[in-house]
Amino acid sequence: MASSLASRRLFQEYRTLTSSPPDGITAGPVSEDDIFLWEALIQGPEGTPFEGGVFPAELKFPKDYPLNPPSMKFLCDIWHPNVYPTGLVCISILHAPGEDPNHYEQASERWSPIQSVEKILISVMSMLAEPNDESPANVEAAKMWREKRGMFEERVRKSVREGLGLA
Amino acid sequence: MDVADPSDWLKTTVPKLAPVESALRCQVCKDFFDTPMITSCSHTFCSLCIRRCLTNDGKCPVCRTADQELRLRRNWTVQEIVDAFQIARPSLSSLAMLELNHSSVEKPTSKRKLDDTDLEEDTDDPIVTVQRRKTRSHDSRLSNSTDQATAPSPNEAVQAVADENHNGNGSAACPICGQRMKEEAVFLHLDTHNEPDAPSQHNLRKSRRAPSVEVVGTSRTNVKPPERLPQLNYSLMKDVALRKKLSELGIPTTGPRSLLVRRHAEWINIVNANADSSRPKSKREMLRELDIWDRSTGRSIASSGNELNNAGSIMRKDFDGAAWSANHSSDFQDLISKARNTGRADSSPRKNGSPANVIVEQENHESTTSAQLIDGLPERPASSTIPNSDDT
Repeated sequence: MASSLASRRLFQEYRTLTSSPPDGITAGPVSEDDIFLWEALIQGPEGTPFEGGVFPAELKFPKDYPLNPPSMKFLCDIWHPNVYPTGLVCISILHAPGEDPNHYEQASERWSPIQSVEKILISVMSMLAEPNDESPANVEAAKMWREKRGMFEERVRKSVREGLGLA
Repeated sequence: MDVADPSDWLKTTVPKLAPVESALRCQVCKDFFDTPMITSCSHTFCSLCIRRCLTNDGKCPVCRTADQELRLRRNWTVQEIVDAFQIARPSLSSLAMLELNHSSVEKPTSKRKLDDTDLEEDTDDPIVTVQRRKTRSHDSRLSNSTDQATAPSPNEAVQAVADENHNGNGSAACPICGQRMKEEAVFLHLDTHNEPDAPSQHNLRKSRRAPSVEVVGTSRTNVKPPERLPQLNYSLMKDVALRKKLSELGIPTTGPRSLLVRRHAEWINIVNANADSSRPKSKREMLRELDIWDRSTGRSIASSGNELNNAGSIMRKDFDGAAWSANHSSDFQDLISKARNTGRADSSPRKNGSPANVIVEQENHESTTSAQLIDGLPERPASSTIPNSDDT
């Protein structure tokens, strides 16, 4: 078939994700016409204020994937130090080794072609559980997380309830 | 389309084969190794995959050690293991699935077939024996079937037939001759092989029945090795020379400079990976691969021409100069005033890295190129590089 390396690999990843999905994560292309745009659903990790929530996100893959990482954007409001107010996720696995927007990341934790959608989503899930406040994407959220943890958690819980249509 | 995946094994009676299959796949493309190469840090990837990675950032994708393409070495052993596994996979997987069907849901058609086989005759064919032992211990059956399935290949390094779709249409390849048939028919068919074959007969049979199967050994020794292409230092080449080089190579010469560079690099990777391969492709096939690349990655490079990392589109004939200057007019005004302040003779603003200046630098670069082409002038100061001065 006339398909590029990128689309073959994405198809393979989709195949793996559907037949053995990791706990709390589903992901796949939005439509059959465009394998470079995926939607993912991530469950809030247990034992965190995000517990019970289901967070939809959008993954956009570059045409030279997996040489370069996709970008990931939450499609819902999410109050978190490492998520920009626009929903864009700022996490080292999504940054190519050449770029370092915040000048703190180890090369070893950045994107490499051997990473995968599954690893990204697992990293994002653990990011929800353990925010990294060294390089906040959302400064306000980071400040609140660091200084007024109770307030932070309450705000997150409230938005989770709202997301579920319970409040 | 259906794609074979290591996770297929998780649903069978031998889920432990999933990590075996994962280990036989390239970590970059997630497909079975195609022409595996080992890096100087001892990691193995498909030739084309690792070449693309090294072109991209010069590092091993697994451990990030810096490496060079010239230091890659072939890993024939891995190739042979993968080839043998791919040939064994369909029958291995139908065995593993058969077992599952048998123990859980009764599948009438396949069951009757099996019973028929059981009732017939007393052959010493090991496969039939294996099959009859169905209800006994897993391990002995597994090892038997594996032996049987891979038996013909060790001495011959047989080329794998593309058999990805064996699940999709329910057909499977005979592990001995490679002929395709319904899964249920494989065991009956295997009876036709039950006389002890000499290896040479295997070869004969292969070439007769399945023309696509060839013995790697011959192509490795008889055909002269395909030519390799050297890397180019693109920064030393002007556009005209680069286009000439591309047309000499017989590859498309259209598009902005950045696309030409990437296309040439991709072509080198395709050609050199092909030179590594034990079953090299024709130039026509390689050109088709390049065309696929051009229509996906290449097109995205060309279309991102308006962005800062790609100023090549400015050189294109259809470049919309008016829109460009409208979009960036504030930048240009800013730059002009800055340049006036610092003085015309001083070209230092190019050195500081604010976004606005990056545009200048690229503008400058483009106009320099054309300036040199026209009259060999050295670089002009930033203030004179208003768009539209060239080309449109």
